[in-house]
Amino acid sequence: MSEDFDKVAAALPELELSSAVRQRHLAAFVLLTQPTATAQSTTTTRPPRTVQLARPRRRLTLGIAAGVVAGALGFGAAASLGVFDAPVTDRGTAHCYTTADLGRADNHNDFGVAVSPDDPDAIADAAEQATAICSSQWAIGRFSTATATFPVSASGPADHPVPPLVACVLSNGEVAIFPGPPRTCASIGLANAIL
Amino acid sequence: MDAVEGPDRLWALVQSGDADAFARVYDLHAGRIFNHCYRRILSRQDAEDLTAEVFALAWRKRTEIRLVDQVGGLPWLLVTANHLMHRHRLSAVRSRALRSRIPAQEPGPDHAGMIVERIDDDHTLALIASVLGTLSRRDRDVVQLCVIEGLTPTQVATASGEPASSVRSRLSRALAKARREYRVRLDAAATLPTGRVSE
Repeated sequence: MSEDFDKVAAALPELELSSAVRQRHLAAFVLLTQPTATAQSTTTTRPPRTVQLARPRRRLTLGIAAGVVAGALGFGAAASLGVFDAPVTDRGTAHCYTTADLGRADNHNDFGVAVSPDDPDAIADAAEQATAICSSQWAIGRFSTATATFPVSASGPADHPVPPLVACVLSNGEVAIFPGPPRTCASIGLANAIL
Repeated sequence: MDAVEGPDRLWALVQSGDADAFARVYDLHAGRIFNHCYRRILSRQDAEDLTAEVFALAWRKRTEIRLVDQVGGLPWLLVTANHLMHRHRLSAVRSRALRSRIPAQEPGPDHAGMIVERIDDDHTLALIASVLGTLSRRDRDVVQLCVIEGLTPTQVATASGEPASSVRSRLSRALAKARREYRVRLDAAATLPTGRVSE
């Protein structure tokens, strides 16, 4: 009887991955593997890497500047300038949003990011992975600017347009990827994720 | 294809940035990754999405993937799929699917044989998934990788970076518990008046 589990588990029935799904996946991978797609993603979703190199000094400067600006203009005004960056502190879960709207329950999905705990770049890696995953989901048509709800019933070719994406940090420390320019985070009261 | 271009060569090309080789790796392993995910979460769409995410990550991390003799990056793909499934917080979906499938099925007497076969398949998958669900995450991973996917403890250890001895001892412990849980479920099903029992 004990061996029954082994036999049954080793011979489980197999489902077939449909050719439509295969084509959709491969089309998305083409976008991921094309240098032009990577360049577009980089320019539209990430601030320059040089920002990260100067992070300690920049944080101090930002702290002082934030105090001055918040005092003069108020926190909301400072946030709207998009000067706050924050690290992704919860690297387990990330979110893709169809719209920059935190009040809806039907405009995003949740997914995991695989970050090695011994990776020194893991904090930035979580945001980068999330951006790449969301980008691929836009590419395969699961998100669309034509509708705010998720998921979209994708059909036809899998080369759907990928809008500029931005990584923001939610109040719980998780990263959320929104369509829009970098200032999108500040417009909904969030910090940009440090990449 | 394997005879001409084995997994080792194919993965070496992928690691050098060959997108065509990556597409061939996808064709080689996508079905297996999809089934690996489906068997745990019992949702076709989620399994399809997870498969895409596993391969997207594989491309991004291609230079860091630990290759294993004869099977290339397959163990890495499976271990990463496990990691993503855990992270995806699909336990609610999984529990819902299990609750709806584990109770004894009663196919109508006029159902076609193919449908009955499909229900049997679903029942078997749900039964094994429910057994795996009683294990801790790490125990579940090692049973799924070694018993269901047929990897050796050494291959799992190489892909996950753990000592092979740890994988072996965990497999032994986890498998003993899985067998016990499986037997309990079969016994329980046998006592149900209208229950279906695996042949």
